[in-house]
Amino acid sequence: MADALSTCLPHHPLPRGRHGAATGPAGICLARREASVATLAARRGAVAATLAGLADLLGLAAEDRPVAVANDRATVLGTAPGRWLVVTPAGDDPEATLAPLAPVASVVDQSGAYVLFELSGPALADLLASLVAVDLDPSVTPANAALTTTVAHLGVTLWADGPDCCRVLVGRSLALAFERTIVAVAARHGVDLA
Amino acid sequence: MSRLSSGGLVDRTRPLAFSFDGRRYGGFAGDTLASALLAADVRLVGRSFKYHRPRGIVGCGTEEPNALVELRSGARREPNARATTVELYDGLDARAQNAWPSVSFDVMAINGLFSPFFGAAFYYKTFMWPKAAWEKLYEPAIRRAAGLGRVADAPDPDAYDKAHAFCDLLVIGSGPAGLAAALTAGRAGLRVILAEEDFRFGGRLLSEAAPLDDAAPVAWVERTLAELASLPNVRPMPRTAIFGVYDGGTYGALERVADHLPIPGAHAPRQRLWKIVATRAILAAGAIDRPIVFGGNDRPGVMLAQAVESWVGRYAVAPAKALAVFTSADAAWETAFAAHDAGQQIAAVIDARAAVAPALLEAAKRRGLRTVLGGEVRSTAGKTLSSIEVFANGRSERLAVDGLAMSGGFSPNVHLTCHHGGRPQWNDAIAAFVPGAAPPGMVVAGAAAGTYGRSACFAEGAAAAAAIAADFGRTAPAFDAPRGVDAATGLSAFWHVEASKGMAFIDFQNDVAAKDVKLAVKEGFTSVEHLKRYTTLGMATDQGKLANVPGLAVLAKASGRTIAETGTTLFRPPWSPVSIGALAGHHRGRDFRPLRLTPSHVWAEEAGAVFVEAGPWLRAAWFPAPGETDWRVAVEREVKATRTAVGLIDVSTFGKIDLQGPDVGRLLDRLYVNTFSTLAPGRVRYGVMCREDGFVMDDGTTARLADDRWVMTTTTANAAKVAQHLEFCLQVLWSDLDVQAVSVTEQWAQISISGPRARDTLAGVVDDPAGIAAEALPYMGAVETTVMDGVKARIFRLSFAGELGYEIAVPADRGEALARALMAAGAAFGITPYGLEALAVMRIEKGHVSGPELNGQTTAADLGFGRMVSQKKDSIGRVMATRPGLVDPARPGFVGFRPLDRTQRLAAGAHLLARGAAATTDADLGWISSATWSPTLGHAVGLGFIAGGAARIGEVVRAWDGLRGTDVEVEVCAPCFYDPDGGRLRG
Repeated sequence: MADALSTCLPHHPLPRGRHGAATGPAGICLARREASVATLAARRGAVAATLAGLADLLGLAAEDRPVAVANDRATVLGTAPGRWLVVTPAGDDPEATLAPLAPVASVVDQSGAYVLFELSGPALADLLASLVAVDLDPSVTPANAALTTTVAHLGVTLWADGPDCCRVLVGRSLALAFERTIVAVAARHGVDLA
Repeated sequence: MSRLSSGGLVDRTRPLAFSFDGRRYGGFAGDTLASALLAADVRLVGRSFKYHRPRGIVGCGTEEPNALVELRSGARREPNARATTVELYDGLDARAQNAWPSVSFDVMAINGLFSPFFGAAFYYKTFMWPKAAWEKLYEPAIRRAAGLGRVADAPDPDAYDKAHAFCDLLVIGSGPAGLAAALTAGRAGLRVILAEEDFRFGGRLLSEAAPLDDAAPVAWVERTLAELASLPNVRPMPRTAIFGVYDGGTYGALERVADHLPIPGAHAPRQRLWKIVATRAILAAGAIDRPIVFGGNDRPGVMLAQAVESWVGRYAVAPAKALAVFTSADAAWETAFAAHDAGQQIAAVIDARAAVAPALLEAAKRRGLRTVLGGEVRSTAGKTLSSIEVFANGRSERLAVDGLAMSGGFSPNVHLTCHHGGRPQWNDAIAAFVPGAAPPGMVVAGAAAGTYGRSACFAEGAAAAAAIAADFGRTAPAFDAPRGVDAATGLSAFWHVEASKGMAFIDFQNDVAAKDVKLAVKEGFTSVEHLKRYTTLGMATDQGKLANVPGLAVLAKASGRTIAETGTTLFRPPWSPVSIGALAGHHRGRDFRPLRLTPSHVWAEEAGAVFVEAGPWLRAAWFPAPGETDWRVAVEREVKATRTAVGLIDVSTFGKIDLQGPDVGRLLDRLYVNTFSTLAPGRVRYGVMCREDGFVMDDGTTARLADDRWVMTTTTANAAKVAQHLEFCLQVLWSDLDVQAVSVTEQWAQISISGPRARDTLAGVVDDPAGIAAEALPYMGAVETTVMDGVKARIFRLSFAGELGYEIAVPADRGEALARALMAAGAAFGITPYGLEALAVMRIEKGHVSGPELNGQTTAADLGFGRMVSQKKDSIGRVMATRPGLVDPARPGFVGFRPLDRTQRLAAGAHLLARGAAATTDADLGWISSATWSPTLGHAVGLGFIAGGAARIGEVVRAWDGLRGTDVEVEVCAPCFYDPDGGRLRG
């Protein structure tokens, strides 16, 4: 077990900086990123209208399946049939931004609910094999997949954000537990906790 | 030294030093601990479980029942490691176990003298009286005497990893069938995982002498591995045991990542638990040689013929100076020939069959080996084997040998095929169980399927893989099997030397002898399932890999049946032992499970909170003031401060569900027993929710924020359950309703302030104080507003504590700031933070139900909510709650209790009895579910359930607590002890 985990109580923040294997470049970097988040849920029978509304409003072609579709204004993640998480820049009031969709969809601000993490590094594929019970082979899971799944008993939504990099939405109450999980599981690769 | 001068697959350029029982020895890279011990002439390696008989190495792999050793020391001490699977490393430190003072002289070996009395179920029959002595005397003594190794008495310092892998085809085992399958499927382009429990791929090919393509078989193995390594779609996984087959093509696997190192590398795991999801699987796990049951067959020096083949062929070890072979199978003859050719002296080949293939006799004659047909070994002698008694042709003869290779045929490794309930089938032709129905997606090939010839194994593995490739729409090139000559595989069933002298063991690990099985049959335990449990045959770390079939054979004969008629027990996971550490991964100690922190956690910790785990949450239990050492003092202070000034608690852990859509009111009317559709925007209502069976599931409040937007609150414990219930209702029961339910438990930090100065405190943080005036925000009102200069907030006027109270919700990332702001705003009014303990005291004073009352066995009527249940509409559970048993007036109903003697305490769990009644189940009137000392009232108060319920208010009964030894007279009263009219709430 990584040293910091044995000395740091699970309800205390882990020290920032290097954890686990100390030599060479860190295999994994974990950083918190700022963002606004909302749950968008289509009203009954209004999935197509919601997608059309999103296209008009944000200029992106979101899909009713578990994929991430992004432009410079937002990332839309399919999380369930007729349901998405919409990630917008920090400071945005997503209920206001998405208000024009109100006739066809319900919008719920979740900016306080989630902490957005960026997980990156050359050992990311190994780490994800440890954490995620999803076949990430490109023949099975597309590169733009948005995975709403569990990681070491933590509910997450994660998606790729360039090579060796992914973004992870974690419930705020569990953010510290997520950091501890990454530090423990990726210890052999060396973890840089930003 | 018994190391042969040449041959084998050990690396003689890499010598390794190790110790066993404190003595130092040497071996080579490529050795197991067992092969290195045999090479060093160490034969006695352990003591048996029950009789403490000297034991040696029997097998050469995971089937080993005897050579169980303790590895390493201190916190890394590992008991019950099979010496035959322990890969030798420099500095390895091992010890024999279950022996004192030493494995050579073990005082508990005296048990062996009493072996005639230690029959099947000896302990059950003998230690019956006095009953109390079992727990205090007999069991501890037996456990000390009979046992395996010792676990480390310090926490394991190593890390354990978990991982997932996915493939089209999982090949289990890397002998001829496994390698042919992996190569065929790999060449066809399938995603293949090749899992091998051993540290080296090749299976029996590593031990066999008969050439392939005119060279040692290992050469073909190496060529094949090189090709597999070059295929990016093939993942060879050595040191990886597939231990279980689970649903949906999921296979459990244990990879021994660093067991072959003195200590794992920095931060590297010792072991890794894999979940492998495979669309298809080929089980090519081979077969294990079978022991023969004869007198003294457990003596060190008696071993499986298959093991001898490995010692000689793979490890270049002559396991004995003079070795005899006792068999009824051709394969053991081949072993004798190969061993002889490698330099092992063979004293005799004794075959129970009266005749064998002439070619075998010819080959023996050519080598000058003595052969005995129609013979049997009846006894053995020596602490380690020094001689055997052979009976043949009507006479006995004693042969001086220090090694005996035995083989009664092979048992295919069918274990994984049983994990979905497949029952192995008896095959008379090979005298063995072969796979029955395999788990979905799995086929069996090679010796595991009962196919013993080498070329047949190659062909079967390749054909199975080609067929699977075709199912994937791929074409597999024809498998180019290596050229070679198949060894003879004839055999006839031979199990037990009836004329044995001395103990003839079936299960070496559990010391179960033939006489035990016969005794069990005499006593009526003729079912294989009963036999297993009665005698322990087939239990412990080897799970009967060697013992099961001989045991069944003895059972069959003793009970006058065939083996096919007796059947066999099924094998369950794991195939081989899995450490608990690997199953836990990093989820241990403080990280046993993820911890949820409340939004105000950092502030609470600064305020000195003592925390308690409440489900996954860490919540403040109380906030001791400086100098307070008794938690009850702190709780009493917190309660009094809340009742007289203002108290603060973080209630963010309540489940919160955002509900939107035109049909929310209709949904809520169906979910709750009471009506919600009439609730006006800006109002909150308390609701009770039932299960379909009429029992209460949860309670909470729901606020209507706008015409089509509501927010539901659940209890902390049922947050996920209620959310799941809503999804079920919306997706399955009423998909016609247009409602979007979204969990916002994480979104909203919710801080509750209660007490006469709550409004004054709140006024200090809201941006619009007029909005919270008594008239603007009455009791059970809700308002969306802003606090702390523009932070979005929702304020609900309600209080679980029973005072003027508000719950203020802000986005969770602002929860800590809100707690600080409220503490600052309330400082002038004496604001006091309180925790779960004070909250529990105040809710009991108010008579509010909580977890102990919402226990899944109480109806709305039981809880005093009968009149809340609307009869104007239907709701989940309404009909079932009218079942006769649930409307019986004698059902326990919810009431309060206070002691007649106000100085007495009450405790939850006490049973209610009439005055003068005996403390019997028949006299039980009910129970106290929650109790506390009320600082407000100055005496104890309790809530609970009594037969007849509220009709008994005013009666006096007894609260009898057998656990704590108390018996207190209590008055039955209404459950609300404090402010029953609710004037303080509405103030």
